[in-house]
Amino acid sequence: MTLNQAPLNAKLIVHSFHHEDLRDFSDIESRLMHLGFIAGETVKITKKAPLFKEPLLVEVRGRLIALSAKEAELVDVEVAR
Amino acid sequence: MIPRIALVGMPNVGKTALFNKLTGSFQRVANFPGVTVEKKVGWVSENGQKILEVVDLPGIYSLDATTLDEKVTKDFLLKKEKEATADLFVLVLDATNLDKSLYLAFQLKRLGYPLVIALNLMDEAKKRNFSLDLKEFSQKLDAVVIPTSASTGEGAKELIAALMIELQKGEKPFLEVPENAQKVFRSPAYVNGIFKEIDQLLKEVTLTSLRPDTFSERIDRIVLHPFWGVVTLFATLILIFQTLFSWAEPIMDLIESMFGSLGELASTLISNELLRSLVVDGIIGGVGGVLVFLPQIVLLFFFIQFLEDLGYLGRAAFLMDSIMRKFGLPGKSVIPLLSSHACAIPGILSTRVIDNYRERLITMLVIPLTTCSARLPVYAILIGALIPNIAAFGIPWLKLPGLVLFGLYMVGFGSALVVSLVFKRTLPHSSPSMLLMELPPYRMPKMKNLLMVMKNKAMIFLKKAGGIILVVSVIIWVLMTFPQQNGVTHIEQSYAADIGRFFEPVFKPLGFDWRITTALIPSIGAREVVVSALSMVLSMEGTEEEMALALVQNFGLGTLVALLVWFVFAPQCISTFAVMKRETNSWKWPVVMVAYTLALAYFFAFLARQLFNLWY
Repeated sequence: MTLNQAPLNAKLIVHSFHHEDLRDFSDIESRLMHLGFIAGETVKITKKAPLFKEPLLVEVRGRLIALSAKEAELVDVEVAR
Repeated sequence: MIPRIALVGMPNVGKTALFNKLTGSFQRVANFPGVTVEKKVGWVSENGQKILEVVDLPGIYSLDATTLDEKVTKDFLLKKEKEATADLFVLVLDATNLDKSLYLAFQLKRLGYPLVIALNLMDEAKKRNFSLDLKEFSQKLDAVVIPTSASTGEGAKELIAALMIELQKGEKPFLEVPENAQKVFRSPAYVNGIFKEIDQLLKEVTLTSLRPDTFSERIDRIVLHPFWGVVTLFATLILIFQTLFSWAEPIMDLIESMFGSLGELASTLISNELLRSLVVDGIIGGVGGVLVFLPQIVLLFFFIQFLEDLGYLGRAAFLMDSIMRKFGLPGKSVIPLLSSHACAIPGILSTRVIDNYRERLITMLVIPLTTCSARLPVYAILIGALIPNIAAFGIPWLKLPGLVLFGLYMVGFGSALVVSLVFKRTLPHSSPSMLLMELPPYRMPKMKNLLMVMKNKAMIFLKKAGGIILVVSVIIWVLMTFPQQNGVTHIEQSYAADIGRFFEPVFKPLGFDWRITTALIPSIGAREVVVSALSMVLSMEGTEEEMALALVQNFGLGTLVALLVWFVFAPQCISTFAVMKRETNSWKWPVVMVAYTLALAYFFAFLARQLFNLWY
């Protein structure tokens, strides 16, 4: 599933970027990677903003990243067992 | 030549605080060439002698720059030997979040650049039980590492000493930049590799690991709470608004009365009537008209910098983002838009908190539509003339004039949102709009940093906008004063009246005759002046009620309705124009702003008059 659909407070494992084709990574995907959204990394959604349930607040490598639903949509995750 | 060093680092690593510590108050703020990204330059001095020039580069997450700020820093860093922009780069790391800040370190290291590292926030990290093998750390990174604390000043001396030694080696910064740099920076293998290296390094050098930051977590439980978070946000916004709107006023009054007294003093000293008028009305009035903005500017930047240093600004953006984005505006536009209700000048200056240039531009363009306080005296007199002071909807405490005033505020803000939607659809995209940002841990702001920002912002305004404002004030004075007859000015024979008469046919559909168009000319200097200008062209003086009555008798209700609507959208004062010019670094955008607000004002004033005349 994509990060924006993932449950709150669950341990999530980043799978890959949603678009795993050969085209170049976009600016947003690049920023996501540099902030730690890379395959195998564990992340957690700690909060969703009121009203529209986005942006999300995600814990990655010990820091808090705020990202909109549109940006979260780019990241594929699965719930860790 | 004094050697020049540049500070590089991720956002929120305390880079600017360190810059302030190193340079003291010995600094200057300008823009990087061609772009409106702030460039801070300062000097380290020893025995009153400048020994080092320090440039504070905008914070970047990685060398793969995506925003304007990041591009500026990247361009500064990635230069071939001949075009070197600095003699040495200092990488600032956050000791309380090494994992994050080491990313940039490894990027630079991979490019083969010798690093001097300021391991900042070391005191805070120590408090949280963190310790590391510094020798191992510096060896593994192949870098000179100096632990620093920007808040206590610890390590600053050592850093400078280390820099002087490195500089004496005489090696220029030289980066072997790969041809396909962006592709490399964006490849998952590259990114993965760096994160692996970071993990490895931290495992090797960490002696005792960092306690998690439970303090920030606990605060966030309230500040980002669905209910209490929104309450906190609104309380903060109301406090800012209140400060700008009413608490800045005594200081502004003081400035105005000081310049009033100065004017009086000057008029007793100067006997030549014309010279006296030039000095008192033109120059002293003009300078006062510039300085009067300062209290609001410095107060607003005090708040913004306080919230930024505290770590709250990003949280406010997080809470507001989804709502504002519906109108093409980012969450961070809330503070500029709100403050512009006091005055558009600090509002436009404060749009720098918005990272994306396009979104920043949209915010700046719509700011003049919000109801600034200079419109209030105009509204007061026109509402007084138009609206009977009766209870609305039969509710005794709810008076109709107050309700109309509230409605005007809403129309202003609403039209700002609608127009930003239009700009969102029409302005070309340059860089993708993204939220994607780190929320830093909470930290107590340092008064010294706040004062520095306030001073810098005030200086920028005075230097860059003050000139235009002053020149226009003098031009307006000339237009309103000349030609004279036997040393006496008759407003109806002035150049301003000539211009007013020239434009009369254009404004006939709105019901504006030459007297109104003439009175609008000085309102270019400051909107509220239109009130006194109207009393001049009507050659009457009296109370507000008498003035209101005279307006109705002279122009009729329909025209006054049109005038009221005109001022809702009205072309901005010259100060707004000047600040817009400076903040967009072009004449194009201020002209666009004036053009579209003029068109809106004309259209809606016309419409309002026609509708009014239809009904009455």
